[in-house]
Amino acid sequence: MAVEVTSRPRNGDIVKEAMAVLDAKLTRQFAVNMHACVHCGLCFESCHYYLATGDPKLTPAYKAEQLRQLYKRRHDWTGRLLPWWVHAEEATEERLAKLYDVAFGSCTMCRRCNFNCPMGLDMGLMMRTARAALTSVGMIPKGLKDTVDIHLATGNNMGISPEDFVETVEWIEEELQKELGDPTYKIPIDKPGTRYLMCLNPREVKFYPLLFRAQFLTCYAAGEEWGVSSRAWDATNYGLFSGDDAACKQIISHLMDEAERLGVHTIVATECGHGYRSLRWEAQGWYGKPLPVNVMSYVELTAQHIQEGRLKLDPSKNREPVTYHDPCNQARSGGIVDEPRYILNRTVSDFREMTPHGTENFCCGGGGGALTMSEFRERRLEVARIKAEQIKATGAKIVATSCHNCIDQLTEISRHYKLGVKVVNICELVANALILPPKQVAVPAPEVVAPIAVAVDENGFIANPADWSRGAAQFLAARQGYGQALERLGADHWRVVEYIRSYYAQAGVAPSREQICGELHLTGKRFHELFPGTIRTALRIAGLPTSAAGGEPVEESVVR
Amino acid sequence: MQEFVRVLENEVQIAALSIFALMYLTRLLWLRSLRSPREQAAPKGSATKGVLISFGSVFVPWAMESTRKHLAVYVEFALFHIAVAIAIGATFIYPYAPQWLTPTVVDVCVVFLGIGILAGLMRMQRRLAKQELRAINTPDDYFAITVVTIYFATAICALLTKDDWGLVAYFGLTTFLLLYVPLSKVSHYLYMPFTRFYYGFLFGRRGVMAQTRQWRYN
Repeated sequence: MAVEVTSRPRNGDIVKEAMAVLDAKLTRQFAVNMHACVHCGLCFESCHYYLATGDPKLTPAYKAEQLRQLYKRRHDWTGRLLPWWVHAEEATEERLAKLYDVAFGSCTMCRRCNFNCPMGLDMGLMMRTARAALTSVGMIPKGLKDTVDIHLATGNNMGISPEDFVETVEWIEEELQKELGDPTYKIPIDKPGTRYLMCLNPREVKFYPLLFRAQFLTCYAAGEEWGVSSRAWDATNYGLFSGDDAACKQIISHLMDEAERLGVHTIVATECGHGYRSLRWEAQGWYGKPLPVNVMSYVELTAQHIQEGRLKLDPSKNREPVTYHDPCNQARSGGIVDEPRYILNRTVSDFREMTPHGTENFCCGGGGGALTMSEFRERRLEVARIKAEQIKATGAKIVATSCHNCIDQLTEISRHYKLGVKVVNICELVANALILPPKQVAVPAPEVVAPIAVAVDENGFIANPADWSRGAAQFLAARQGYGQALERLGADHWRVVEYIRSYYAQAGVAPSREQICGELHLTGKRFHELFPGTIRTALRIAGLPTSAAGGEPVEESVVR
Repeated sequence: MQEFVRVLENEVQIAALSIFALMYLTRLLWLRSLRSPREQAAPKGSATKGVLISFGSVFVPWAMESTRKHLAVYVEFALFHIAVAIAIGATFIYPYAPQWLTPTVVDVCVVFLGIGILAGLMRMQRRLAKQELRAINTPDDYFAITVVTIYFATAICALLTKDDWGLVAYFGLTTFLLLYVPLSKVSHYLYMPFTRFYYGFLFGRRGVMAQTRQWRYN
């Protein structure tokens, strides 16, 4: 396969540079993993890629061989003397392209094979090392590279500005004031000396603010002392998936410096599998010195709150059958297996385990940063069949999990395999089951965004997309001529608008209605209620240019 | 002929064993020269327990899904390696403690070596028949199984007949294996203690396989 090299090394010799990185990564752990495979084949059926396709080239051992063959040519006695005898191979650009397909496109580094290997070989370590070598020479999927680059440039992987972050937190604060009947309720931002600093996933801030609303709500109910930082709040670290340790260090340092500045005791990672693993287990290796704070997961904190009797829960509030998907980075690589079950058994009335589950659970297919690699989407969905069958067998209506990549992949699986299940984070179920004290006072009406006039073109789209603001969106909404439906944009309108803008910024094209509904869990009917007329109504309000609508004729009837 | 056999059983074996040891020592020193980063994050479980579980699981086929589902392969693995231990052990006992080789001991050894041959043939058959295994197996893999299976046969021959030619074949092959093994996949046992240690250490510390009490939720 042809691989687009995103940034060539300075000397231009991809092969030489990649092999130099491989040599530099040669630790004792890596070396023994390269030598110890006996090719017994017991790992085959542990891999969802192989199970779903039956392709002999998708077995863990075969995939590891693609790296091992290059290694043997350089570091194995027989590989150097008689390469054909042990299938050792000289590194070439073609070989690296094959390794690229394996390391990024055929392995989510879920480590299920690790737990099924009689030798205990660590596929996660091997594939991450391969990714590191490839990334160093620019052989990295563009989506993954962009995610890391945006994080390094802006402090979070979606490029959300501190102002937008604070605005969203304040909006949630108002929502909670209303819900709790407590107008004095505050979400502490940048508060020094707080005990727990909550770190979020940018997707929560941008698309699913109601998720961190649920987390904040449980902390409030538990009487916990906590806060957020407007400077450093992103728990994710896609450098874990690109193998770029320098990027990992920079991302971790940003967070740790802020935690140290605020003098917090513990960082709480949101329900993000790799984010938790990066912060809890890998961070110290990258940081190069002891972390200034403790790290725990929201799931661990919630389990602790329940165990201490600080949360009152009513499982009858979650009556539908629920199953739990163990995120690989939390269960197999993180040791969080009992906590989610402890929580769910006290939060829902009908909890059903998948078979297998816990450390034996199958990867959903969205791990290893797979969701950022659009080039492997088809394969990702194909191998998700194993997970789809697992879910179907439980008969559950709700799939709970504790990871955003898993959430996205499971949602796509549900749609693709027509499972008809709802996919939720644990915090949503906990928040729903909470028994809170009765409301005390009424709260003020939600914020109204004043319209700001902007110039529009002949199709009703904004003339200069740079002029867009929430006020401009309100102005554009009023122009659509749907009266009350778009008179005042609400929370769901803003979710859709933000999603469209983000998608357009990344893909350069507008998303389809199906994509929007799928990503934001909206029905077609609800979407039409929010944005009457055609998809262009939403695109206009989101401030996209005419060209984003695909150049098709515009229905003048809806443009006023 | 008898003098040749005596030299082959003693001096030649010692020389081959010395080369074998030297090669492994070189390999171990090379491994020792490599960095070995250890996880420093505060543990959630016990690394010691993890390591013990990791090594113990070799003897507990139901601990892993792969061996649980393929119990026959596990049994075959166990019997093959018992035969390996007997064949190697006999190379020391035969020249230095022949009195231990009573007829009963010889019979037991021969039975296990015979089973080892069967296990070797089954392994070879599986590796040849299964497309997935063909895709990863190298000439070294096929040769290693073949030569070890033949080695079992020569051990039977030597133990049963005590014939000079049988002994020449057995000790000749022992010499060859001592020189060949460090260059082949057979040396996996040198690396296996490391890989299982790292596996147990990592996942034991993280509380994946050996959670300490304060972290348990029931």
